[in-house]
Amino acid sequence: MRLAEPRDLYYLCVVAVSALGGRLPSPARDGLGRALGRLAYHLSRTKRRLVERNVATAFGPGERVDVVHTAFFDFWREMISWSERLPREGIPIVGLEHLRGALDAGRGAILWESAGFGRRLQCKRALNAAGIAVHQIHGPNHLGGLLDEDRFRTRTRALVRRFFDGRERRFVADIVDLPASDSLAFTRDLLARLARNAVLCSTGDGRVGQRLVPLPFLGRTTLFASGMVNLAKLAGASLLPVFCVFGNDGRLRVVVEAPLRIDRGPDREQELRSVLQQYASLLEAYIRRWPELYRNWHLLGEFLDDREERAA
Amino acid sequence: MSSVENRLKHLLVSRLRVDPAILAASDGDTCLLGQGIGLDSVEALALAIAIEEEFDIEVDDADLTAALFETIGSVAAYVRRRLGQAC
Repeated sequence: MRLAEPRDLYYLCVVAVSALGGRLPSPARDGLGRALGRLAYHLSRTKRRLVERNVATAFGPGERVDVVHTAFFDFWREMISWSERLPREGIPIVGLEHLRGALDAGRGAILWESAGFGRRLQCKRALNAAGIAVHQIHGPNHLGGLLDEDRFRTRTRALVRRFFDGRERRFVADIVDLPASDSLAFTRDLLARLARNAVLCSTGDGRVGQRLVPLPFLGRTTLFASGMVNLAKLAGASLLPVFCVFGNDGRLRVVVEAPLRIDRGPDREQELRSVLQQYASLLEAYIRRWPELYRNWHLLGEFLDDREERAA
Repeated sequence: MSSVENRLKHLLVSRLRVDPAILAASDGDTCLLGQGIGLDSVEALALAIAIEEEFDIEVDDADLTAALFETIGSVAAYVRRRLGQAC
């Protein structure tokens, strides 16, 4: 395994910012996030253009241009949040009864978070404080809140991953790493965990899977992996979207939504699309309400060319 | 098409509710995962569980790979091999 690739220097900078920024008082953390966001906004021209284009597609030309700036800021603020302490007053959870109800059924629950929206680690912290033991699932290219875009395997990248995993491990029961190989044995492990009434947490808009379904999303077409829907069906588990956003008072709160409806009909394809579309619509509604908390504006429509997107 | 492949197709329809029209147009080389039949990793597991029950064999974790579930033909060959070992 190689020691490092050029991009690893950027990953190490993010880790350093996260580790140091988390120790700062709250106003300084915001200031640091804002300064780095402004710098990234000016340096990352390609990303900025993609964000501008996709925000204009979602909201209309000239609308919500502020989001282009805040999306950059929020990326850095999210990175810093990996190392900050839980607010003294804790993070309230709205809809915890949905999760408790799912667990009462005894067949486990799957929490569906977004890979690029809201505060992911703070969500686990809040659930942990509420006594919920989460089994976190990560894809083979997971690097905490970062996207491992070129998927090189380097020792530096393993170190970066260990940094983020170490922070997350304090608040979750276990971390399940999906294999980089073509082994599918992990599915049996996930099924066994649900049979033990575990709470799994995975990304609903992640792009790791044997099957990706294109769906309309924020005016574009985006791919959604089907695996967790079929896992919920196979295990009889509930699939609950979860979000960690700011309330009107400016404080973070976790929202556990009601379980997605899985109607068993004669058409397997329609059933799958229906569940994925429920999630996509819900996530879109959250992003439209808090567009500044979405960090993946630049990835919308990625992996599909124009013709595929129109066909979808 | 062999009886093993026909029984696999029956499992795909009865247990995984794959559209019979898609299967009717398929052969041993039709892809199971992603494009083609369109199974994902969890549905591959569901098929493995169905195979274990139908053919009274065990699909080891080490065998549970995307390569095994590449096509109907590759799964059928695996089942035939395991049945041969069991005899």
